[in-house]
Amino acid sequence: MTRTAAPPAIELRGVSKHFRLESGEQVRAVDELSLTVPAGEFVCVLGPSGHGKSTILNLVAGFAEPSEGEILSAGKPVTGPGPDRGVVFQRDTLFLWRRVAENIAFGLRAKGLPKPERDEVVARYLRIIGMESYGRAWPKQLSGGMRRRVAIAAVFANEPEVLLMDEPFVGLDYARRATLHTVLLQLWERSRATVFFITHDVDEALALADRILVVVRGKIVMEERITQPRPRSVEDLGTAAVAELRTQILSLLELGAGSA
Amino acid sequence: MSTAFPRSRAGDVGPAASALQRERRRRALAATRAAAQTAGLAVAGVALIIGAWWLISLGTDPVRVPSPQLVFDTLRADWNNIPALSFIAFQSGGIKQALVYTTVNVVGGVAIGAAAGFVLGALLGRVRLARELLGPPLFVLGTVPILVLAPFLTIWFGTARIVQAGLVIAFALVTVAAVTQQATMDIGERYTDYAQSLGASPRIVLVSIVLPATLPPALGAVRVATAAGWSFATVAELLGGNKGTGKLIQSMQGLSATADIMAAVVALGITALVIDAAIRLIGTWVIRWQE
Repeated sequence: MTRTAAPPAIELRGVSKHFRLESGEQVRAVDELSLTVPAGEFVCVLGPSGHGKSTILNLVAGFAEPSEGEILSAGKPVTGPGPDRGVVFQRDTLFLWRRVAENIAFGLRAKGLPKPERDEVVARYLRIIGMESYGRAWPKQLSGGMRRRVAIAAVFANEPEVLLMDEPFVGLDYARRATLHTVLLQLWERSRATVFFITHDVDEALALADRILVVVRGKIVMEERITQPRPRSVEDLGTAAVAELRTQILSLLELGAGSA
Repeated sequence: MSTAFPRSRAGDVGPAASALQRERRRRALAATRAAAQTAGLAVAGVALIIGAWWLISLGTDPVRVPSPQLVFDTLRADWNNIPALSFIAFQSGGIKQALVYTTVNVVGGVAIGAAAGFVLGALLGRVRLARELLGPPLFVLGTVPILVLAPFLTIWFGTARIVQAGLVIAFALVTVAAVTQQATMDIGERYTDYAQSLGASPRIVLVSIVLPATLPPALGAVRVATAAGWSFATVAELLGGNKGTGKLIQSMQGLSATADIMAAVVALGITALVIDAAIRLIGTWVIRWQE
């Protein structure tokens, strides 16, 4: 008897997305892109602004429909947003009218999980992100870094198979980013969800990714696998091989930005 | 493997509980100071107006401008009973009874109109078909002066309470619906996208995201509707009612009882202020999460 291999967590087959500008000009944000992301992989996507990274994420999330091609999530066509694909946005989307614990419990409540189990999950995630005392706080009472932690915990608590992150740590200083990287990796290692992480920061991609993709003008122009085990220290990221890779990526980004 | 995230590396956590408590205390103290300052200025403003009124009344006939003292004495004396009222306006009681009648019309009218307006506004903001179907007639209704409805209501319902409350209901409905519709349409897609990606159904999105997010502007509209509601209710009583503060003022005008008219106006003003403060207080609590 032959065993069927599990379908990839994300699969894009010849996907394009066109937008029409007010001037009437048609822009191809994603250009015949094909990509396969196996379950459990941590993929970081780099690219200049306006070159289609967020559009790819929105397509996979089901917030937009492709103009051409097909998108599959765990082998099933993506027809809209769903709890199997959690999203962390660039600007935090915490519900201001819900306390921290209620924000983390939102997806669990939507799923119909009974309150005692919900409370247990929320307590566990508050502990993991180091915010046990903040369950009853309002989002307005939190710092930027704490809000991002809650946003990530809220998505992980819902146990999605795929986590789509659109520059989730943008605007934070180095120390807070490092803290959030640790939190993210810890949550990821526990869940083994597939992560599709968009960033502008090459070092962030080098620190987190199993695979780095560079997207320029809606196409993947570079794909690099990182085999270094995590967590990756500053020393790990300071080797000659990593420096060379960084230079290659930066050159591509610079060229790409110039071609826009 | 420990699952707890090490506190020493979490730069923005700190001693969580005490930091929160300190922040709450600091905010409470600042709010108390600000409230005391506002109250002090309000008292000074009222004192200034009463002083000017008293000065004007010194050299004027009390029938034209009664003194503050005379008005407050009249308010006390006629609070429960004005005998002349039963002969002129076929209405028993005093200023209190008239005031209660008007207040019930305003508060009840705003409650009914605002609740209906909130639901209607959310529907118009979320459902395109409803917006295209009901938007234009509501826009027309919003541009027509509400007082135009008074003759129709009088023809249909005579002197019943619904005539006076109807104007308040109509104004609250149109105002709250317009504000809620705009607020609903202004909710960023990221909120609804995010909720859907967490598995929220359209019903959960409406109840847990759309309605709470539109509460702050809708509460502002409720205050505006209440403030205007006093005028609509009183004018409707003047036009065709047989009860209420407006009717009392009209009746006292016939007797040249200026002190009674001013006493009723003062009582109405104080009641309006108290109710506005109550709405503001409840509103502040309801949207205490707002940044």
